[in-house]
Formats: sequence, C-alpha cells, structure tokens
Amino acid sequence: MVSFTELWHRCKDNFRFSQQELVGIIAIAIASAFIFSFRDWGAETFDLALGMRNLILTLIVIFISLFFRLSLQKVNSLFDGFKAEFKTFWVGIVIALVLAFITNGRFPIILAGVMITSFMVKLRLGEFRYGHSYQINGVIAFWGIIGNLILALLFALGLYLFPENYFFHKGLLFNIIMAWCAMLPLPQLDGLSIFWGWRMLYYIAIGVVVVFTVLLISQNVIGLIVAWILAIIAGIVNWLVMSEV
Amino acid sequence: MDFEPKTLQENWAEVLAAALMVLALVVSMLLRNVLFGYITIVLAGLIAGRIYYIKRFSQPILPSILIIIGFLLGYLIGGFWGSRFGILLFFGASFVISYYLHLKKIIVIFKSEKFIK
Repeated sequence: MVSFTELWHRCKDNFRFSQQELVGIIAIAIASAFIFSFRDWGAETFDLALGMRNLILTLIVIFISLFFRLSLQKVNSLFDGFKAEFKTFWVGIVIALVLAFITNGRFPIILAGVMITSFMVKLRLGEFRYGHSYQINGVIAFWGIIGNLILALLFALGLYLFPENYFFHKGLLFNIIMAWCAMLPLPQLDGLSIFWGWRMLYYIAIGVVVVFTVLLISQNVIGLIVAWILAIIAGIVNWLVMSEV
Repeated sequence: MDFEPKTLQENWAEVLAAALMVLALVVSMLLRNVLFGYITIVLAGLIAGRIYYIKRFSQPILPSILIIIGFLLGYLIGGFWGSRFGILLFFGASFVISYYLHLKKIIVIFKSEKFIK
C-alpha cells in the first residue's frame, strides 16, 4: 500500500482527463440526459420549460456521477501503479438511444464504456508480481461500480430528506441503472474486465449490486439505514485489508 | 454438381449481414415516430462511417461493406413510417461526414499504450 503522500503526488503528476475522454463523457452525458428525462417533458401536454428544466437537472446528475466514478477508478489505478483511460462505447450510446426511442423512455439503459489500464513501469517497481495484472484491472473496473453505489447511497439519503425531489430521484435511478449496466460481461464494458480478471469478484459484485438495489429502491428508512451500515462496514474492512497489503 | 454445406467460418459475413438486416427491419418497424427514425439512421450512418474508416485498408473489405449494406437494406425495407429516400439521404450524408471527421482526425480511434515509462 502506498502512503497518502505518495498517492497525492501520483495524482498530481498523472490524474488528468484527456481530450478524447472529455469528448466521450460529454457525448454520454447528453445522450443519457435525453434518455433519462425522456418521459419528463410534461404530464398531459408537452411542456418545453418543464422538460428543459428536467433535462438540465438530469445532465448535472450525470456529469457528477460520471466524473466521480471515473475519478475513483483513476485514483485507484494510480494507487496500484497503473494509468487508467476511459474508452467510450459509442455503439452502446446508439443502442441506448434507439432503445429509448422504441420503448418511449420506459427502459432507460446506459452503456458508457470501459477503463483501459496502462502499466506504469516506474510506479510498479517493487510491487508484487511486477507487470500488467488482469486481476488488478478487474479491481479497478469494480471501483467504478462502487463509485456508482456510493453516489446512489448519497442520492438516496437526499431523497429521504427531500421526498419527491427530481434531482435526487434521478441521481438514485441513474446510478443504480449504471451499476447494473456496467456489470454486463460485454466487450467495452467494465463487467467483462471484472469477469476475466477475477471471477469470484464478479460474483461478489453481482451480490453487492443486488443487495444495494433492493435496499435503496425500496425507499424506506430501514433499507437506507441497513445500506449505510453495510457500506461503512465494507469501507472499514477494505481499509484494514489494504493497509496490510 | 455437388453443393457442400458451408461452415460459419466461411460465410460469417453473410450470416452477420442477414442478422443485421433482420435487426434493422425490426428496429425501423418499431420506430413509428418519423423523427426518431431519421435520428436513428443518422446515428447508424455515423457508426458505419467509423467502421469503414477503421477497416478501409484491410483485405478483404467486402465483408464490412456487406454488413453495412445489409443493415441499410433492412432499415429501408422496414421504413414504412417515413420516406425511404430520406433514410437513404440521411444515411449517406452521416456516413460521409463521419468518414471525413475521422480522416481529418477530428474524431480519433482510441489507442492506449501498453506500458508507460
């Protein structure tokens, strides 16, 4: 485990979003905001003002979610001595849009992309099994799903405090759906990286996503409290385990 | 004359083209809204332009062209809700635009390094 100071310096030197990553993120955000706000352009009649407001709020949610998720993956990859770059799944964006058109927005999905890792020679010196590791690649991919679940927890808390709030509702829905879609073992999605990198982790990830989906979508106090307790315990266990590695 | 049955390895391009033709037919028939239909074919044209740019120097190129044409044909056959000429026009325009953007490196193909020193 590298120290916090070392991790800070690694991030200072290498934590960046390249131009092609930013272009991909913007494209995903615009397409997904359109998909997720598809049915929110007026109840009985078309309402442009309401629709634009909902679209902008959804766009803000998606930007926050994407940047948080990708940042978490990049920091985690630097922690292990890899550089992670986000590869956009352009065909996935088209598939999600066409599905939204066909189902009239009733079946929103998001097929964003995958993190591709590059082995950083200097940072991996002295590490266990020096060289590229598909297992670590899988763990880095898993951190993306963890990022979505963390945000889902925060949005669920916001939804509990402010019921019927559109922003928190969309945030919860988007992050849960993104966690599920990212788990699919398809090429150009994180799920395949986890599946081939560490099979046991893939099954654990499915279980984690199922449990948190059930607890958070139920939208009651007990589910929220249990989800937070589980998340805090998992965080403490992860910190204790990683400090021994 | 003996006709030997071909394996999937030999006629994968034709099978994929037929599958995409059916898919495009189903999608175009389900998209009753004309605007959404045109938007979909524009997006398909952009993807097709990207695929053609990636495969433009590979040999043989016919499978890629066959697959693209198969998709377009299926979409045209199922295009009851809008104008078929419009579908062809939008597909062609977006194909050319996408190819041009890739040629001028405005849109790039993702490349990552295996290791960084």
